[in-house]
Amino acid sequence: MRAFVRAVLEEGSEPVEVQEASSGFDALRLLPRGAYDLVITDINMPDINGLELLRFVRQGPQHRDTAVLVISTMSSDRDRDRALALGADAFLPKPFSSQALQEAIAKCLELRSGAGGAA
Amino acid sequence: MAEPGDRAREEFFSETQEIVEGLGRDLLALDAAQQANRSDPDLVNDIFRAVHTLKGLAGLFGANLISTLSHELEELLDDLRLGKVPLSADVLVTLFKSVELYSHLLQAEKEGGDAPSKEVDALVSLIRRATGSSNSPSPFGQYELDPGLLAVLTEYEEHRLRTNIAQGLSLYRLRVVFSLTTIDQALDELKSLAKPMG
Repeated sequence: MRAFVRAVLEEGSEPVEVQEASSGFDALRLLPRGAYDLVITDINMPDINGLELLRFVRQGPQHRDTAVLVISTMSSDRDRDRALALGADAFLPKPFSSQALQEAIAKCLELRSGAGGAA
Repeated sequence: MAEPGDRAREEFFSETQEIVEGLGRDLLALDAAQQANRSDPDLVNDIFRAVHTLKGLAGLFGANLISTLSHELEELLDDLRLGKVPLSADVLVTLFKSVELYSHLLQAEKEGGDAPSKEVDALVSLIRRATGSSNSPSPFGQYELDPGLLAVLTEYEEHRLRTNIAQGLSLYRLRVVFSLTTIDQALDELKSLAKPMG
């Protein structure tokens, strides 16, 4: 899935720098190293879940302008509602096409940009 | 339906057949667990994933009836997984019937014969009757659970917590501070220490 997401990100017209984390803890270690325009997280990960990672992102003042897209194998309304309540910019249930992913990414970045972000 | 080529179709039949056979075995194990009054969330998850894969494969190869059946089954299995529907004898019978129907559908797809669409309709009705919410009261009120913790539980994690409380397992609150560089290993060690306490 990470390879698919990377390919979709890199296919876009704008050049992007993509960093991959293999787990939630890996993501927590990566986040303080830079300012990110967008975090894409699965809801199910081997250690912490995507909602916990999302909360961490939203609590960090340095990530105020970071957009977050949560993806999930389950189209659970409750998980989607929780993700949005915790500050996710979009929720995308799997399976999804590359076009659906591109649209969700664009929506996330647009929302952050409209909110005065740096994306 | 697209024409993905003979070899790809052969692989489709071979893979789906294998998944259906695995489903049959998992259902027998689920039946045995239920008879022994044991819950087996991993097994229900395995069955859910198998049906999810079948749905994906059927969609890819235009096997619409298999796709329809899988979609409905997925809903039922998701409710089972999340404890919204109890694993009753009727639900088990419905699941076994689905495995049998998968075999017929595969056979019809392979031989190009009449698709058993009436049987699919009948089973879909049965599955929909079994799918629903039990709206059981929240068991969390009796515990001082941090609302911040509950807010970041996925629906499945919350279901597992409910089940553990319903089964009378103890809840412990552990306060620990980890370094981010060593948290993976430290957490594994903590889990090993805590596991014998329930």
